[in-house]
Amino acid sequence: MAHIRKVVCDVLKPHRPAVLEFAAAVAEKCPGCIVNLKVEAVDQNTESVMLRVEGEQLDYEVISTTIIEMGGSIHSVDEVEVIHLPGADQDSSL
Amino acid sequence: MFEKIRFSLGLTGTHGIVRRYLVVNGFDGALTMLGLVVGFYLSNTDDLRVVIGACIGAAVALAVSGVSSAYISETAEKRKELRELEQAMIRNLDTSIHGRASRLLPFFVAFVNGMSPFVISLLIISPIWAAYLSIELPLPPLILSFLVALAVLFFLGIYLGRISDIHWLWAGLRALIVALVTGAIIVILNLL
Repeated sequence: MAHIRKVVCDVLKPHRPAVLEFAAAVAEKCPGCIVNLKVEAVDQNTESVMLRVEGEQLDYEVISTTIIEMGGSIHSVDEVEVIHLPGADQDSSL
Repeated sequence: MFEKIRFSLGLTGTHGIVRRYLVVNGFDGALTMLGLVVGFYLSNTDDLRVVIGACIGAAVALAVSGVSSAYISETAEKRKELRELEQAMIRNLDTSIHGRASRLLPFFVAFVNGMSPFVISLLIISPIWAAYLSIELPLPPLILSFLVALAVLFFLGIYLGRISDIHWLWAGLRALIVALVTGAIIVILNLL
């Protein structure tokens, strides 16, 4: 069974909600995770941010839905960390 | 619901617009009632039913005007803002919090813009209403309504002063001067 432990995405978002609210919204949807958000570039109406989410068992679908709901769009998934736990009888979370 | 509105206001930076609508239309309502009350006082009207009817009519008209004008203008404004943001984001934002806020906020702004003059008008004519219901008042109802209108305008002035960081007394007095000038113009016109 495979679990996502880390996802790093390049996200384009509007200025509002601010980075703190944006990161908090993602964190709220993934209990126990750590969300790190770094602003890479600022434009007139938008900003490019690097969103890093780390946790024991992340659900990428939930993370991407939250980003889209907050007005952002995922440009690319730049880094992932997936762990395989053999012997577990649950379905893969991928 | 309240939390949703608060979040939408923050998201779109509409706090200032709501505050402006609240004060500007509240001011309109208070001055309209003040004008009516002064007019009725100068024409020596005794029939409180007529006074209440005219004031309620004006208050309802102000409320409907406030709701409809704010709804139409805010819907257009929020739609424009959303389209501009969509162009910048190169995606449709209808299902995002921005889309929801642009649909929800015109209703809220329209409600504030309509209710502000309506509630203030009802407050100002409350002494006339009380007199009509045979409740004893320390002063004649029209005089009391006039004083309530001055007090409301004074407090609206103070509120504006707090926002713009002007001394509360000066801000309140400034609004009071506007009210007294309005009253004076009505009196002068009545003397002609």
